[in-house]
Amino acid sequence: MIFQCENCGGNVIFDPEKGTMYCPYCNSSNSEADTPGAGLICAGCGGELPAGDFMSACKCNYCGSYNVIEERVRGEYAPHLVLPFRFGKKAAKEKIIAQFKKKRFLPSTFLNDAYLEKMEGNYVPFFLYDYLCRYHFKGTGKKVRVWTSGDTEYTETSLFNLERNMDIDFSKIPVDASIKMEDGMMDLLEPYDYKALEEFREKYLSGFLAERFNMDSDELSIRAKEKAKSDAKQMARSTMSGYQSIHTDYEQADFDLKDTKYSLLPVWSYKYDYGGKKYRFHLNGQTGKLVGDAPVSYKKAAAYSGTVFAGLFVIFYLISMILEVF
Amino acid sequence: MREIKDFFKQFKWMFLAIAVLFCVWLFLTVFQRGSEEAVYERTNEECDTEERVFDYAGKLTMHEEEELRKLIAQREKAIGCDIVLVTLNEDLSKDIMDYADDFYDEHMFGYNKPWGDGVVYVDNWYDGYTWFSTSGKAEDKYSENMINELVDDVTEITNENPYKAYKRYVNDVYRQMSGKSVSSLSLPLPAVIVLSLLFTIVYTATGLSGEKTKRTTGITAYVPEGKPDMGFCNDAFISTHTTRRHIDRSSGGGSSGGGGHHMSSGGHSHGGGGGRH
Repeated sequence: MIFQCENCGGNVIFDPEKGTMYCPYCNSSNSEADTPGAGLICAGCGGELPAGDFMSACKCNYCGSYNVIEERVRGEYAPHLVLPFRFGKKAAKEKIIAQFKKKRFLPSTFLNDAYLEKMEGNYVPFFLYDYLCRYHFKGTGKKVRVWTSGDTEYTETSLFNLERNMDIDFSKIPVDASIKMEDGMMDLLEPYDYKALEEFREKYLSGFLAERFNMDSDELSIRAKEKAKSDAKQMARSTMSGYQSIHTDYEQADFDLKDTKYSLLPVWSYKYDYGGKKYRFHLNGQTGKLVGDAPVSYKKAAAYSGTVFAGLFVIFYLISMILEVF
Repeated sequence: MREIKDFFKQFKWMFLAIAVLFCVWLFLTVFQRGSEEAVYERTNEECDTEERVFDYAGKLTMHEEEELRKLIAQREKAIGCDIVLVTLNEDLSKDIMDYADDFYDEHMFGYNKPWGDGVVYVDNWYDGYTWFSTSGKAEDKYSENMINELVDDVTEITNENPYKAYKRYVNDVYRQMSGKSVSSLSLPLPAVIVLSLLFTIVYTATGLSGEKTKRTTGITAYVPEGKPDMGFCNDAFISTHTTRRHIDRSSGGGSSGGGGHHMSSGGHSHGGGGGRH
């Protein structure tokens, strides 16, 4: 399916800044009419779509139209919720430049507009888990007090039995359901502001890439529980103040699954290959938080460091000559 | 092209600093030459030597001797005094003070006339004793405190770096006679290399180290109520014990030397003082 402009027939896309559908050809707003597609064939030109096994929205390589593949966003693959992009490609590029422009040894092409233009907005499939967690902790806390009297130093060590029982209602713990997205990077993109979550509508995908979930919800629930348990442990620890050390004697977290929502969350992705290595950068499409390590040009590092050494040598040598003159 | 532009943009401050320092050095060199050139004209024509550095103990390299000669020539003109350095490594048959006075007298040192204005510093490495002898206007100028200050200044670093110590002797004489300040700061070549290397290492390391993205999700980010429902919370005291440790308290201290006016065996008046390294 593609969204076509009723005024000019162009491909209408979702504009994150305006929050509306927008025709980049005739500048019309909300002028879209959906044209159904047929499987993995472009609804605009009939060309084969580069959708692979899991893409639910992609761009046609032949006519450039953004297609939404109906069978991958409907039925069992219909997302419950979607978090629309809040900013477009221009703002995403600016955020990347702002983050990395002060890096000294970046390859010179890294922030080139031609490379940054290849950034893509992706709707990444996530499962959002609601759990009731019953957390039980038993441990031993140690308090140490040191004071001096005359020429003697005293150290008093006191031990305490610590016990906590608490119920925690977790809501919408996100776990990405995409094989190609690295879990660690997706976790670092959090948090999202869930107040902006909306009921899923296909038009939000026009102008972006999207995947249907390609990992099992039950399998992923283990990661959700791990996240919840880690948070529960820290919440319990935050109630134990004044202890120099705490030893865990017993810890148990039981979970009751209350609900799971399949959702699409917005991520801008920038791929950069350099020196035989693939660098991946992801931006939270709602908050702008950036995840990814900058590439290093070792040739540039050597040249710059050599210049610094030579320059400093001359500076210090001149200083030594000035001191000698006095 | 862009890379070259980036390069100059990155190092513009460094290039500017080099240019400014070079100009400062050039200005100071020219200014100093202009202000110190031939203030005093040497009028002693009877002195039997042009040499000022008598390194009989062999503590200086040829290069260091040459550098000292240059410095002495420059300082002598500025203060109008002969500045002589003697290093020995022998068991002297006479007192080091007498040796210094006789050395000065025998060579007929003195900037204005034989046995006139000048100083000699004798350093005997055999036993570590040193003597600083003054004559003429230097004798008038030098108080006991000034002599002590110079001798202490020189002897404190003689064993570690004789060249630096003797350079300090020449500069101290200049400073004390002229009243002008002399920078005691110096930056030897190895220090220049080490400093440059250290700063370069810091520059490279900070450039290579990437700032890792931090987790910004709070522990209650997925808890709509903002806190857990605490069913049971108990901190029960088990036991306590106290250990004690005795604290040792202690402390420590240091030392110094001097000189005065006297007549040499040749009947000439000298001042001075000594020390040991």
